[in-house]
Amino acid sequence: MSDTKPYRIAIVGTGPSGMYSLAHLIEERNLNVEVDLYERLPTPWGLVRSGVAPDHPEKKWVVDRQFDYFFKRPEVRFFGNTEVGTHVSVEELSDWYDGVIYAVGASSDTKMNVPGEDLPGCWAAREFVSWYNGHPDYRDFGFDLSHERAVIIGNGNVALDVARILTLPESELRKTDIADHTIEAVGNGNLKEVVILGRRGHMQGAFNNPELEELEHIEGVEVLIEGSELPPEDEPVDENAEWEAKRKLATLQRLKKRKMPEAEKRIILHFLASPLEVLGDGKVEKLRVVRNELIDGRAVATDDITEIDTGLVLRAIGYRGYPFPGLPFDDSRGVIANDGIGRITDGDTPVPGAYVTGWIKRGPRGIIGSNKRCSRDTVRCWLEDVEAGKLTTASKTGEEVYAIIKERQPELVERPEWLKIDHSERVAGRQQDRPRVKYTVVDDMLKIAHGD
Amino acid sequence: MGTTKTTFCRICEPACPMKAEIGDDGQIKKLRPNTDHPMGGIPCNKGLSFLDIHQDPDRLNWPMKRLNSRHEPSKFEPMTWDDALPEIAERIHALQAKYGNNSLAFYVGNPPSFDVRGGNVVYYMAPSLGTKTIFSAGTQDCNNKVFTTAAMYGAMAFIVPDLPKTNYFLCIGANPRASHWTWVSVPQDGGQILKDIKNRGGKVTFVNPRRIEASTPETGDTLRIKPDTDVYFLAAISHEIYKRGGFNEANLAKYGKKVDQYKAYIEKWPASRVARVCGLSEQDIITVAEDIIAADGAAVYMSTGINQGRNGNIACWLTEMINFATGNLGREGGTYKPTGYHEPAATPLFSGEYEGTPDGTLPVNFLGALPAVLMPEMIDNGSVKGLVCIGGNPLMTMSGERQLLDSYKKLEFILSIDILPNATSELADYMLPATDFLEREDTTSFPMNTGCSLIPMVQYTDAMVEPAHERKTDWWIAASLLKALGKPSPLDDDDHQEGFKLINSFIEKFDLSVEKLKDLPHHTAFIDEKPKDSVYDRQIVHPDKKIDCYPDVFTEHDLYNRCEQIFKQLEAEPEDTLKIISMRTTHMHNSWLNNSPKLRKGIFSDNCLRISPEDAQKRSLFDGDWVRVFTEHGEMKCRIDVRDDMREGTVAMTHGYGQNDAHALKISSSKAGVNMNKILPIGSGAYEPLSYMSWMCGVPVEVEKIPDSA
Repeated sequence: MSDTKPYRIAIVGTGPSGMYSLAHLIEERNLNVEVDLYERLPTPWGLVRSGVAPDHPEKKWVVDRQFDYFFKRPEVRFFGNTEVGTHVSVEELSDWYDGVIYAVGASSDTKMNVPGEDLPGCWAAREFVSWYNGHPDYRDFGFDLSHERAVIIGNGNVALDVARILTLPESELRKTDIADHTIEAVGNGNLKEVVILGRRGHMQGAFNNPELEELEHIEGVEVLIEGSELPPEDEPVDENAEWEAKRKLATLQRLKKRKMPEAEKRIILHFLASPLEVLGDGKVEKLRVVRNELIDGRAVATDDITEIDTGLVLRAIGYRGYPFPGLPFDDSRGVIANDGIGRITDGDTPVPGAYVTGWIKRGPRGIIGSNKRCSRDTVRCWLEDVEAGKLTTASKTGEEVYAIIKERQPELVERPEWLKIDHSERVAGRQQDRPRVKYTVVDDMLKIAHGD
Repeated sequence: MGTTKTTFCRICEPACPMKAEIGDDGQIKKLRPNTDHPMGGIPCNKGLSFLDIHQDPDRLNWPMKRLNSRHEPSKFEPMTWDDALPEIAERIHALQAKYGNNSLAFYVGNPPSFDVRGGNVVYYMAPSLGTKTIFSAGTQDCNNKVFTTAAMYGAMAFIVPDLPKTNYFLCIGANPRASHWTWVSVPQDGGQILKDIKNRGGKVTFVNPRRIEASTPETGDTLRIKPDTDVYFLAAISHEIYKRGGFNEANLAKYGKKVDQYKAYIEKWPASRVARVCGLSEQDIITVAEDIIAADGAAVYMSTGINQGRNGNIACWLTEMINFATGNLGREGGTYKPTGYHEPAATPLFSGEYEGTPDGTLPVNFLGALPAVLMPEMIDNGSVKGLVCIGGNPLMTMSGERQLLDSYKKLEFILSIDILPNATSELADYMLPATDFLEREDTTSFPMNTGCSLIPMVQYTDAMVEPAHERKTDWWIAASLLKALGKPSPLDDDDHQEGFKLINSFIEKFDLSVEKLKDLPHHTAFIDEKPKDSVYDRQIVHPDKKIDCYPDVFTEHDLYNRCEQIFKQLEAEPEDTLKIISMRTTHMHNSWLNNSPKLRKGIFSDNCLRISPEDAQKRSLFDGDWVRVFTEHGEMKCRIDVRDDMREGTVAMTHGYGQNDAHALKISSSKAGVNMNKILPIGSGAYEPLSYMSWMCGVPVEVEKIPDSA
């Protein structure tokens, strides 16, 4: 395929799954491609920028050590601040390119489906994460941190990330690239306690070991375990348990034994409890909770009901895909309808030239690296379809596409403009001994991007 | 169903045992670790990825002849061996007849050291052709250690640390996690051997300008020394040990000569004198000295990072002397001489002289290799007219790529014997296709020839597959070429045993032969260890059976004084001088693996300059920025990788990249990266006397930001 003119591919979304798709296309031996990256925001990297906890800078190394090496290839263009659906349609992309890969992520979340869920003060953890990471769409979400207690529903890694951010000393937050508005809000707030509710028992916690173990090391924060009785340390552990579960149990036992009378804040891992109703007059004031019993590994509600005083409830029970205008959606799974490998399907029929990858293909599961394999499968689908002659040829050249996009979006952010934003953030960060200070307003970004 | 065959890796010293899964079509499907083998463990990424090299579609398959001028992008056409060998022989004869024997230069790379049959024959091709113009990978690698140990013991010595028993290990200028050890073969156990030192109450200290991957909380800390100052650090340790009565005087008297001169030398180097130049605190140095004295068995080990500096001979001598003077040489937990195929035999230090180099007449040491950094000038002044490269890519490997490229274009004849059409071959008149290690029968070579394996053993491997197309073994190519040249060839011997005759003669004394190895489990025989203290009896081959503690040859060639003069330069150097060092990674091995897609992904698609956060900040640089790196010898443009493992004032780069002109290598040329050899010093003064080691580590550089090329 190398001697023919290059295949022209569009990737929609520049988070991990989009960037791994780009990587697979570039790395494919004997394949000549030109890739246009469409990104709704002026900034690339998706959840690496707006999802990864700011106190975990090592999880963002993948940008400087992997993604950036593909992003800066000469055959790659970045169309930032360009929205599919606004500046260009799905149909146009299909027509203009030899293949389009949708890597748009999961931009919604699972609801608790309890009364009072819509009261102000009850949010998705996803929204809170986007807010503290400075995502422009969420910067004006007014999280009220004036109450002493916050409750997080669900005990996966996102829940633990949020609990950490809510309790870390301000001095620690100031070392990170967390949004300045969050440092301010946490500093002005009164939070002393974060309760993390888990439906099932301590052996079924959704968190991973490293995230759980990290809780042992937050300065001035005590971690309490409630709702579930840990076995005594000298009791032989269940031989059938997975080693991960055993390691979690050992950590929980260490946490339980630890005494921190000086601690100013605490995180409570509350097991075997589910939310029943969010209560309050015009805003969240209480959360009604039911104690569960574990029967055959399943959480079954008892009649033991309590109320927790709180001003902030964050549900962290899963991200969920949001329908993408112009593409078939599988509402039961919350993903763009696809063949399970990478082709977008309408009913049983593949939509020619349209592919999908990442959370919006397989559902919101897995870590950054999980997208590598996922995107490989997607790219292979496209390659197979090319080989099989199933695709129509791109109708426009790179120059023609560029002219149209530039006309429709004069404030297009291309690679050099993004590099100006990036550089400006890093310079500001260096002055404060932080990795970067993020712009959180699109207009501010554009001023830097298009300024001198 | 396919079959599984046992083999071993031949990239570096551990010779990691592997298994090859062979499909029904006779092709190799997969390489796996051979964890059942006593020398086993997990081979690294490089070994397990070697299938990428074996299956590389850009491999050389036929003898190739150049059709156009060396000044144009190459055009080659295949030819038969029957045509190629006589034609090449005729060209060589004509060249030598016209310009003299020495007009033909030889360059031998590293791979023949890991090929028991090829290695034996390629090294005597140059002498057979009567040329003394020999260059080798050794002057970029470790020839200082070979020379210095020969000067001290009377025969070159691979003296290794007793890692399984030592209680204090000082590891200078080596990164075993990435390099998998040099000059000692250690089973690949994921670094467990170092963790065990700490686990048994011992201590490991690394000395390196960067906090290397081998240095972890489970092993030990890194003293981040300034580049190319290790020799003074070693002198100061020696001094402080001596001052604290840490020498085993009885041992020194029994086995050493010129001990007083040695002591007088180290008298000059107290920790207080060197600390600033080394960039360490006096206490750091004293602690190392005290740790060595206190340990029940201590071993000091130095490697490539120091060899590539300016004082590799003196540094090696001081290292050996610390081990000997403290009584650690030949004791359990110290250093010792493992069993090899043969015992050390007396070696004269010099084999003759070479007239007419740019630096006049130079003594030729027993290794035979001339200073690589003089090569461009020797071509430019007309003394070298032809080049034979065997398993090597000197354009990439030696310093001064730009100058070499210009010079090579002036040559009248270039022959390259290799598995790949590399950047040097791109300039060749003829390329001859060699086999990779999966395509040839072999036995353990280098680690046992020299006796540097912690587990002395000899392993045989079958060819995993028949060589494809017209690829031939180095042994056959060299022997056939010698025959075509009318020179004595192993092929003249009716009993040449396909090249195994020599190794059979070596291992006969262990009641072994290649045939017998084939019947043993893993095709491997283990060879009895000798007592550790037998090193004194076996290794010292000077007639007086004494270790030379102050080699006169260093005085005669001004090494001691030169070391002092360099120290004075370093004392006077501005504090903010930035220096470049070479760095091993888990993804590259010289230029061998450059064309492997698997090992060239993401950040490895390029060759970044690694820089400390402090130095980046001073220059307003950020991760991924483009910079120009330059010296008076050249410049290169690359991206930076900011990492806090770097000591301030030091930048690092991996070598083996930058083959943009190797057009036949698709990955290498399209993801070229840069070659730091472009900025390294060449010519007079850029090499160490006696060893002829090129100065490649600790070279002052300037770094400045350039606009993003993206």
